[in-house]
Amino acid sequence: MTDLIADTIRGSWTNFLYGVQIYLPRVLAALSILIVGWFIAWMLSYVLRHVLRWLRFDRLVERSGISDMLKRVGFPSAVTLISSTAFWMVWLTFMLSGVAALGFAGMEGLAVQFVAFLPRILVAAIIVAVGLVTANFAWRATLLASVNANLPSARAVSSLTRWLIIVLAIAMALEQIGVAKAVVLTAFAIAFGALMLGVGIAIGIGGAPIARRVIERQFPDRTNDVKETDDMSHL
Amino acid sequence: MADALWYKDAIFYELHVKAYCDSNADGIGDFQGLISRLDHLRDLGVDCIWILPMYPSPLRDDGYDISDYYSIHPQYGTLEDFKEFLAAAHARGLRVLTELVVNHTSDQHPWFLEARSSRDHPRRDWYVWSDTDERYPGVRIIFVDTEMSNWAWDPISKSYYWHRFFSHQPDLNFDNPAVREEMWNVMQFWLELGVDGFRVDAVPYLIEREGTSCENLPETHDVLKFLRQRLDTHYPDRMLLAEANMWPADVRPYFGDGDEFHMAFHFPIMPRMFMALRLEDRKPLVEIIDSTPPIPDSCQWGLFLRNHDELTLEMVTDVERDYMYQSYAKDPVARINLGIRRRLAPLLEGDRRCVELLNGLLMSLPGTPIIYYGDEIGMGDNIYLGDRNGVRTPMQWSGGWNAGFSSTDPERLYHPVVSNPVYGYQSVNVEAQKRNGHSLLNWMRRLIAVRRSTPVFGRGSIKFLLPANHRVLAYLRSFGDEQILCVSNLSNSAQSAELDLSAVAGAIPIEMFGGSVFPRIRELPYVLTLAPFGFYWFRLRWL
Amino acid sequence: MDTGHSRVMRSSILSDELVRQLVPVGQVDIVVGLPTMNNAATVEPVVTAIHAGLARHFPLERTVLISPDGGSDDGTPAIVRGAPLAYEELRGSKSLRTTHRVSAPFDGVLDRSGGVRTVFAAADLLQACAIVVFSPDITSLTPDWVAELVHPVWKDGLDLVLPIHPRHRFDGPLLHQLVRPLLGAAYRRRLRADLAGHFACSGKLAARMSSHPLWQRDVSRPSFETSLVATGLALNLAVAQVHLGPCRFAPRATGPSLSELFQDVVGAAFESLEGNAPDWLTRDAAPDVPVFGTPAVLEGPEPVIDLAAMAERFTAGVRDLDPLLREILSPETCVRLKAVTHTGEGVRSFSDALWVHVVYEFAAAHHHAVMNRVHLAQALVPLYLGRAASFISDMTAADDGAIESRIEALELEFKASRSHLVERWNSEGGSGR
Repeated sequence: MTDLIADTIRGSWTNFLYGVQIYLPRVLAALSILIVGWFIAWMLSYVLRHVLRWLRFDRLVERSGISDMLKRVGFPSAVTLISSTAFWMVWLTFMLSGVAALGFAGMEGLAVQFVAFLPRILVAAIIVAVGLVTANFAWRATLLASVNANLPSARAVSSLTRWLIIVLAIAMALEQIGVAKAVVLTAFAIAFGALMLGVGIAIGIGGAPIARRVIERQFPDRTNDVKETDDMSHL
Repeated sequence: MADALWYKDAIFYELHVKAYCDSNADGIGDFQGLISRLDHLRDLGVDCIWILPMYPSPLRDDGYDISDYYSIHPQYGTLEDFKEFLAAAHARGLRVLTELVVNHTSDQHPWFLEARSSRDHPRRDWYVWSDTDERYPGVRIIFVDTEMSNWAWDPISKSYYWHRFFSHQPDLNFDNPAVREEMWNVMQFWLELGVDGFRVDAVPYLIEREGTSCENLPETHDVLKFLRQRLDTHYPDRMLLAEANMWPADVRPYFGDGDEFHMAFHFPIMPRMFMALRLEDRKPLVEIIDSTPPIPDSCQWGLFLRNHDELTLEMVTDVERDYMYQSYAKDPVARINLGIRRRLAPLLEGDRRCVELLNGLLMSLPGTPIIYYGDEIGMGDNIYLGDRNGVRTPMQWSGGWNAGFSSTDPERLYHPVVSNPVYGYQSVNVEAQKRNGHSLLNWMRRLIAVRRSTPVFGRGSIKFLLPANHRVLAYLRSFGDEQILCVSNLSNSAQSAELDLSAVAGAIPIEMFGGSVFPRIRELPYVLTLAPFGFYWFRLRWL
Repeated sequence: MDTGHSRVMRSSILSDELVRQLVPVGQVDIVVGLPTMNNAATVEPVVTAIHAGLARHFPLERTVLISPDGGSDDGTPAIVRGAPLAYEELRGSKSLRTTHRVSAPFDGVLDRSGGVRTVFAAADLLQACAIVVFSPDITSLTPDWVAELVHPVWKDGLDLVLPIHPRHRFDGPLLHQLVRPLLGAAYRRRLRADLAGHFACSGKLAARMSSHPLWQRDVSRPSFETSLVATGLALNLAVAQVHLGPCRFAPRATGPSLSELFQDVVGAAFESLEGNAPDWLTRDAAPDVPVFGTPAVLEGPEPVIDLAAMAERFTAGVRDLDPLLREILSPETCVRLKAVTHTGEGVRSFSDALWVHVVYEFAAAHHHAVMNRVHLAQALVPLYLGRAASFISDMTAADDGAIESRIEALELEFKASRSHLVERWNSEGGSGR
């Protein structure tokens, strides 16, 4: 009996030590991947941060108005955001590789799937970034054009323009990364369509005189030859 | 000499007997001397010699103040000498044109001496008299540098006499039929001797009327028709050449309907040739020719570059005159009356290319060209001689004694020969240029020969081509089936021009001096390039 | 055989057709430029007046009229080529030389600035000594204008001659409130000239302007005179101004809006400061710009000015453009701007000092590219309207002399506050914050 127990215990310890023999290198490998990956990610983020600063990327972002938006939503500066994103994306890739190195079943393709998913995230980020820039530009252009054309509610019109573009950009980004694709598309279509329908009804019923005045101001009837504005020459 | 229109094909040569050649060593040229030099004229290729006044005269206006219409001034020889000269000229195929100064005589002429002797003398009415100098007010004075009035006081008859030129040249009264008859007698005298025509001086001024400019009056044409009618009746192959310094439209009446003058000088073209050259722009020339009215088929314009008078600037605007003075006579000594008293070569600063170009224009524009003696060798002038004598210096025949003009002492010459190193007789003379195949003289011979090779130049029409390049003057001369294309570069730099020759498409241009064949003319613009001041004459052949 | 040299196709300013027409013209003394674009209704008397001026005042000079056309479809080039010449009689005063007229399409930017650039290039090709440029829709052009503009260049060797026209009291506020004092203070040279579209310049300046970086931007500049004037001032060229008669243009179906005018004229002024910064930043004193001729008198009713509309646009602009203005202007200027009162009769108390600060801060913001530069110029429009309304309100009852003095006072204010421009220009960022 004692021999059976000793054999069993010896066998278990042999299996255990065998398992440790097999899995310990894997753990060590995973740890080393994590550590090296952290260093690489940190180096990349450091270099990226300095390159962007040298290129005065922060000024460009400031001029495009994106930095304002980021501050409003409590995000750090664009340079920090980009370098941090780069750090996490690289380290996450190494982390997943490390996990895969452990050899657990079902986890081998995780890193590959993640890496395959990365470009879509990148494209979505670019869509959002471009959307933000465009929205800001359109906001400013609409505001100036409306003010200089003496149109009423210039700020409202320009803000509406900005948010429409932002919403469109976010919807496109979500569609790109495939998050609730059908829901996003449908919701956007419904919202956009309802908005336009509402605007049409509002103008048709309540704002017809205003719209008429605005249009008449843009396309004056010169046949009556009535001077509506001054004829001083500015130049 | 049977062709009644010979003057349309001829090339005239103007000379002063006194300046051409002296045979008797008195320092003044004469007819015998001229006879000795006729070969030069024959070799040059001219057809007609126009002699400046050779009549007896006090010579206060270089012979235009005539004191005897029926004789020869003794310093030029005798009437026999003249007849000999005529015969010698005709023997060489050279016609002779003499001067007919109809408007006035010298105050030493027996007619005037008689007319002034008494208010009742039969010849009194041969001149224009007045008790005051207030008749014909406002009439311009022609010799503005020397005369203050058109009236001069005669102390003998105690009255004023009319003179449009110098005060010693009283005007004849052509309202008097006797004057007209006498003038015909004068003409007949010389025509009988064999003279081929007359250059009639100062034509516009024959008649005076109150309230007019006393120029170009209708009655003047009656006088001229009278003389011409007599000429045609008795001497149909002789010609009359009018000197009328006026706009072409004003000269036109002097052709009548072919029953007045055969020829008239085209004065306004002459300064415009010089102007076009300096401006490097054909505009002045094209404008004046385009504004020249058509003349009867039997008539002809006389063209010249220079003559015995100043380069007249009467027929130009004030701006144009100032420009000409600035361009050609910066030295005020060179200016006289309203003109420039310089010869061709000095005017062009001795630029052989310009001399050739202007002679090319002279020979190719519509009209009969007249060469002034000495210009065929590029003689210079002497502007310090006073009046217009600077362009009437002795002909330079050789580099020897007195330029071969006379064997007398140099101090005895009627005018000193030009002797500066540039234009002096040592460097510019006929003998030297005869020996040099590329001299101006030989070039002129070739030019004249080419000109004479076709009647187109003398008788043809002209049509200007107006290429965009204003520095290029181009025109087509046409006569019958013959056509000649003349293209000249008026500028000092090489030029190109695109000519619209579609009207003569298909023709082959043959360059007339060298015979080179040029590419056939097509509908597309014909591109030519020209050297500075270069020109082409192309005979257009359809082959 | 390929020797290793690659064939590089260079772009050319002069079209083949234009070169073909210029070759026979050859070297000239004076070029008259007349860029056209559908001006059939107005161009003929302009051409006739130009030729009359050349014949009368420059009968001996070699001249050419060059009319680059931007693609007219109303027969303008044919009219230019066929316009009658106002010659006087053959025996009277006329040009001794052939009159050349060249009209052909041009390449590049098909607007007035492209046309002027073509004229400059053509003048360079023909080695012209003097160039004068006119607009094809001037109805008051007289032959004497040609002489008055060209003589200082042709006879006196000046580089740039600008016209001064008699104007109604309050006409041209963009010029006398902004462009002239700004350029005058920057380059330390006082200007009185109008940007009327016609001027004269030397061949040297034209050759220089042909290769100016301005043309390398593919931007339409209907009026590049501002750049030309600024270049002339910056390079310390011999600039002069000459009094001409009243300037009137044919009515235009569509003209530039005030916004477009700002983009063009004010944008050009700001860009000139940008391009010539090393010069004007360090400039001390400079000679006055001489004035020739006698001032003419302008008759006719004064233009109608709607001060209320201008004030309304100013107020709305300050309110609605606040986010933008805070990026452009300093906080102090923003505060002062809001304090400018608006009464029912117009804007009051838009002081010279405030206006000068506004202009300088906008100029600095342009330099630092705080935002898109077109937007920057547009943002200035309401503020300018407020300033113009304030100026006109204050001076309604004043005579010409008093108005002139007031404008001079503004120029002095620009000059006195020049250091503010320099400071803003040189600061990092340079934005409102």
